[in-house]
Amino acid sequence: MCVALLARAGECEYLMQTDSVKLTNYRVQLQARNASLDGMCAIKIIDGSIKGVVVNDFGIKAFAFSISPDRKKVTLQDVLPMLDHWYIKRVIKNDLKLLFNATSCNISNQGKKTTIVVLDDGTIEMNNNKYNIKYLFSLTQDNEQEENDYQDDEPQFEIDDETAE
Amino acid sequence: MKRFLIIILMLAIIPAMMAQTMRKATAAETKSMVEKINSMAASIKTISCSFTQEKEVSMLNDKMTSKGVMYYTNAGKLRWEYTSPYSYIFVINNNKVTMKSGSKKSTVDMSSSKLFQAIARIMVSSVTGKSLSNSRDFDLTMYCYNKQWCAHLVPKEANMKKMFKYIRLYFNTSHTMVYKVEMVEKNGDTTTIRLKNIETNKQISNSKFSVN
Repeated sequence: MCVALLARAGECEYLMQTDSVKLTNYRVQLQARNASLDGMCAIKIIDGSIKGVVVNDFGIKAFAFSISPDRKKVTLQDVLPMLDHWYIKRVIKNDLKLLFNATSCNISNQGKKTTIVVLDDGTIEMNNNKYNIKYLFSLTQDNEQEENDYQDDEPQFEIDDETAE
Repeated sequence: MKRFLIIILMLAIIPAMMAQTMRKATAAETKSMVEKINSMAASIKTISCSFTQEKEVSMLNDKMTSKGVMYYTNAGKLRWEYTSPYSYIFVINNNKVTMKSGSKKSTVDMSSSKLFQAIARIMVSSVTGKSLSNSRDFDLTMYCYNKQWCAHLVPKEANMKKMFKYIRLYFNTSHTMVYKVEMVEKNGDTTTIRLKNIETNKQISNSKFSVN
């Protein structure tokens, strides 16, 4: 059974698309004063909560996040060492909460601290004006996972992990 | 129903029978293997291949897949390009790293960045298997099963240690090339890069190592 959830808040659609069956992949670009991050954000609804992970272009995880079913509580985990400071995590959590609560109806009512706009190409741009952080989220073209073609010709190995530690 | 159960049972058992367990190489074997890998890596002038990168994320119970192409020359040039699901180019040439994401391009002088020096060193080592004996970045343990070899690398550098539990390089049967790289994070999430359509010592145009 394939049930794609249409993310809605009342009659208004959430800007960030989510699905309970397959991953929704966004290209993500984050620009801050002294740092930038380009990569991918993958999101999936699991047991009603929104679970997601942000990885850089080489697949290295920046952080994972979980948003409660009522979208009021955000938790972070597996945070990259350079981001693993309470003041950075607090900003990320607040920004994710705003992003995932933004709907087609309420984006014009954002406060001065944070603004969210949808660009002509569908990219969601969020600006944290207080800390001068810009986030860009655009849906990737290739959201369908392809079947792998390597398994027929690749030897299968197991390594005795006890000796590997 | 009985026949159906037997088929299900067979499907479960056959992959387990096919999976082979690698054993830890002895010190002498490790020395010999590393020498052979380094010697073969030294004979490689160029590599071009395509790759598939899969990241298994336990939290999502799913995996993220990217695809791309790679070009390498032993003159220290590397092009690592993702073509799907989005375009991203990472080029090392003349001691400079150039990255292009969409229309945004940036260049970093490697001599001024220890981070990029380390990235370049580890990327080249991962692709060729070169410098496995270099103790600066990793503790090495070699594994083998018949002609199949695997290098098990445990990071030494503090930041790498915080990110990765270990990295494994799998070598083809002639021990000339790495065909698979596994990077396992602290929480067990694994990124697997599989190199395919590998061609060695073929002419690669210089234009591959510039970014417009």
